[in-house]
Formats: sequence, C-alpha cells, structure tokens
Amino acid sequence: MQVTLQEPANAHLMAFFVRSLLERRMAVPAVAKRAQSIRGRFSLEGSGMRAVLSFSESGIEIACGDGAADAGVRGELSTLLGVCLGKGYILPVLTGRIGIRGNPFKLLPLLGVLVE
Amino acid sequence: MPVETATPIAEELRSVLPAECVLTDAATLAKFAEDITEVPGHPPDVVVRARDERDVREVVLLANRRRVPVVPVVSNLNVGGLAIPEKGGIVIDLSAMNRVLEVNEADQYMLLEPGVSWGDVRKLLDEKHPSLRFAYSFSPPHTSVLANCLMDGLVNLSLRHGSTGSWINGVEAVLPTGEVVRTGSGAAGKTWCSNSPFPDLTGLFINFQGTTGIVTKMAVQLWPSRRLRRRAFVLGYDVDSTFALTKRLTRADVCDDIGGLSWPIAKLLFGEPNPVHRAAGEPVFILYIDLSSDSEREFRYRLDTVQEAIDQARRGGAKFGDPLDLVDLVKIEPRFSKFADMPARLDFLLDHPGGGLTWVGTYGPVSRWEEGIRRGMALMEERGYPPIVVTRPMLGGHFGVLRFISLFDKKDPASVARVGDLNKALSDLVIDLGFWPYKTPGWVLARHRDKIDPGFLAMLDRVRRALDPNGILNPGKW
Repeated sequence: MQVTLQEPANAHLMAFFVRSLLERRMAVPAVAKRAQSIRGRFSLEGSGMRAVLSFSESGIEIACGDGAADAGVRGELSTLLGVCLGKGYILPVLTGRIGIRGNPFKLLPLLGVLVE
Repeated sequence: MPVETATPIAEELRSVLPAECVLTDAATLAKFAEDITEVPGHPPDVVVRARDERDVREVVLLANRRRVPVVPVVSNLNVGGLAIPEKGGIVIDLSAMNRVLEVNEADQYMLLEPGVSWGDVRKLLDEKHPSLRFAYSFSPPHTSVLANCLMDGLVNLSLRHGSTGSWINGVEAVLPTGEVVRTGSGAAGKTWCSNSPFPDLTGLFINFQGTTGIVTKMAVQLWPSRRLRRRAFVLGYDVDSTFALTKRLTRADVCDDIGGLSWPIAKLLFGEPNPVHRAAGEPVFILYIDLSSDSEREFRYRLDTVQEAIDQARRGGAKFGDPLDLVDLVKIEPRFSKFADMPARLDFLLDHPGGGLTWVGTYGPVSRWEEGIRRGMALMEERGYPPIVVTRPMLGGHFGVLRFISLFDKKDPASVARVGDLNKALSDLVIDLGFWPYKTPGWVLARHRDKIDPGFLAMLDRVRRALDPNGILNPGKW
C-alpha cells in the first residue's frame, strides 16, 4: 500500500509524522491488508496542524490543510501519537483530550491501521 | 602509489621521526586542506602522524628552528577554517594519541589525550564507570573531546556547568619553543582534580585555537550519572513565548539542558532537503528538555515543574503543545534516535548532496535572543535559506547560544560565495546585538576586529608573542 505525502516541501511536521507512522504500519502485511479495504477521507488535527488522509485503491495520500473529510479526530499531538502507540484511546476520548468529528463508526477501521 | 612531493622540511622531519609518520603524498595533503565550511582550503606541505608528546616536541622544535607553521589537527572535521593550514607548513595529526590515561571516580575527572573521541568516552564510561557521566555535543562521535573543550564548546550539560572550557582541570602542553608544561593541579604532580587554586594558566590554551601550544593531555570534569532520564520535545508557536518559557525553565533549575530547534530542523530529519516554507499551524520552535534524577520523587517534581511552566504560559495566552516524549517519537520515526542517544552523527546535516555545512554560532546575552532570532531567521528566509536556528541557555542562563546553520553546495563557487555573504550579514547582525561567534573563524576576526577593545588585542598579541616568538603555531587565527 503506497503512502504519499502531497507537496512535502509545504507540509507540516504532523504530516511527516503521519507519513512515517503509516509507512511503518504498511510494512506489516496484515495492517496493509486492513488499509486496502478502507475508503474515504479522514482528518487528523494535532496541536494546530491538520492533515487529511485519503484512502483509495491506489494507496493512502496525506494532504495538509482544510480539505473535506468524512470524519476526524482532534487533540494534542502528544495524545494522538500516544493513541497510535497503543496507549489507549477510550480515556482520552472520554476526558475530551481527543475530540471526534463526524461519524465515529467511520473511524473504527482507521484505528486498526494507525494503532499499534 | 601515492604521489610524493619532497619538501626540505619533510626530509628534516624524517631525520628525527620514523618515515611512516611523515606523509607528503597528495591524497593525505588534500585530506587536510579543507573543512566542511565555505572557508577556502589550503594544503599543508607535510602531515606528521604524532605517536606521543615526544613526537610533538620534535616537530615543534624543528618547526620553530626553521620558522615553519604548525597546525594541530585531530579528527579533521574542523570548522570555520580553524585547522586549515592557510600558510602551508606542517599539519600535526594527533588522532593516534587516543588513550584515556586515567578515570578518577572519586575525584570525578578523566585524563585524556587529544585523539580520544566522544564515542570512546561514552563507551568507556558506560562499560567501566557507569556511576559517572560526561556530556556530549552534536559533533559526530569520532571527533575529539579535547579539541571541543579547548575550543570552549557546548554540550548537553552546559546549562548546568557552562561551556566545556570551564570543565578543564588542567593540561599538559608543548609550547611553541618546545618546553613541556603542566597547568592546574597537575602542575603539582599528585592529581588532576582541579584548576584551582593555581593561577589560571590553563586559560592560555582555551579559545586560543592552538596558537599558544599543542595540548597533549587534558584533565576534564565528569559528573554523577543519573538513574532516571527523560528528553521531551515541546512545540512552541511563537518566538517570544517560546523563549519566555526557556528562561523560566532555566531559572527553575530543574533541567539538564534546554535546546531550541527552529522548525526546519525536524523536516530535515524527515528527509525534506530544503524546507523553506513553514506550513500553516506549524510550530516555530521545538524545545527539547532534558531531565534527570536518581530519585523518583525528585524526577516527578522536575516533570511537574516543566508542566506547570507550560500551563502557566498557556494561561497567559501562549500556545504550546504538551511535551512529546522522545522515546515515543523514536517509535514513530526511528530517525529521531539521532536526538536520543548522544553522541550521534547528524547525517541530515552532514550527508546532503552539496556537502557544505556552515554556521554563525555565537554566545551572548539571553536578553537579546528574541531579537536575534527574529532578525536572523528573516535574513535567512529573504535569501532563500531554511531558517535553521539552534539555541541553548548556558551556565544557568548567564549566557546563551544563538546559532544559524546553513547547508550549501561546496562544489559550486556561486553557492559558496552566497553562503559566505549570508554568514557575514548574520555576523554583522548578531555581533551588533552583543553576541560573539564561538570557535571564532578567521573571517569573523578580519571583519569585526575593529569592534574588539584595542587593549585586549594588544595584550593578546603580547601573550602570544611571549609564548610563540616566531609565530609558528596555527598562524592567522585569534
């Protein structure tokens, strides 16, 4: 599964982190297989930096900025990275440290890709 | 077969040293002719590989008699042209003198030869003296500890203990006239535990850029190692609040180190070759904060103090991210390990296609950091460079580091000229604010000599002439 960062010269720090994370995750065959079945656009907003992840047949594209998304999460970059590293997401969501936009059920497949 | 260039001085050196220690082949001379910066290169006439202080003395005695320049070099990764033999002569390569002669755990110092590297020290202490720690610079692991200390460099305990020149307990040096001297408590022969209470003759070798003697041994302070350590990154979104936080944390006296890295540095680490655009919402500076302790309770206090300072800044309207633990960052992006385990080779600065790396790195008043940073970054952006800035409070915040780093194409004369012009403009700016370049390059001295007290320069000249009457040691420097 190809991971592409749009316009890296203009990308923000969080987008680079997300690219690194996804590249490593896609190296795990089971995770890559899960990612292949996802379609849609998801926003991640961490510490003021926003990125949209577009899942398609051809791969995952990361774009910075205000692009539209089907659903998304928002929080401190440290909290989002913690979730990705398997430190748990339920408590951050319940305590408001992670905010959800859109349909939360659409985010569930994304968790299987991003979270270790 | 190496191409030999016979010189009279080489022949004379071969009469007092083994032939294999005296090198004149073109490849060796070329290796010592330049550094990674924009300073023009110049080859030596001969390179001597010194085995011990007796070899150093033989070289110096001969050079002094013949009035031939001598430039001491260790790792050959010199900066700002400081070890370029601009008048030719002899380069004396000290890298083979690489013994740690003593580690004194009780008195917390080690006695080193010039060729001992950061990597050597780290390995030795980790393996054999884990109760002690040294500190590390962002220099590559193979570079010399002794050279850094003599050049008064900055390391990751400089917030607590100052620049590394002040860590030196004493030296053994070969003077330009061949005498071997010891300074500090080593002068009395029993121990190297302190530079005090002796008259500070050690200072005659610090920041003199090898113009007053060739140091063959150095005693340097070690510090207790700590069981608990953490390095965290805090994202700051404007210069004023980032440096207000830095100063607040400095005075809180809870951190081992607080480094400031401007936004392009992380992008370089991620492999972006020329990050000149800061994206919307992106932090301006990333602070890395080092904490350590032996006690869980004290460590928690330190962590809480950092968090309280961030929270207080936020209550005042400043924007900061929560601290990002470096251990987590390394899991996401292994390249962050460059910041986790020092000494480390910052390959994203050293191994780019153009190969050139230069900087205007200064020590100066933390009260003028913000103005220097803002104006320096603007200057770099105007000229199309990523505004790469590194800062660090030193010695409890009594002074600070302000350093502007540029990458360039060393093979392209236009690129070399352009970065040279940038550095000159940056030096004009920061010197006007009260900062002064550490490891002061010759071009800085030439450009800004008129800003130095004439009495200081005259005294410096008298001291140097007293020690080096024939001006043989590293001529053209301070």
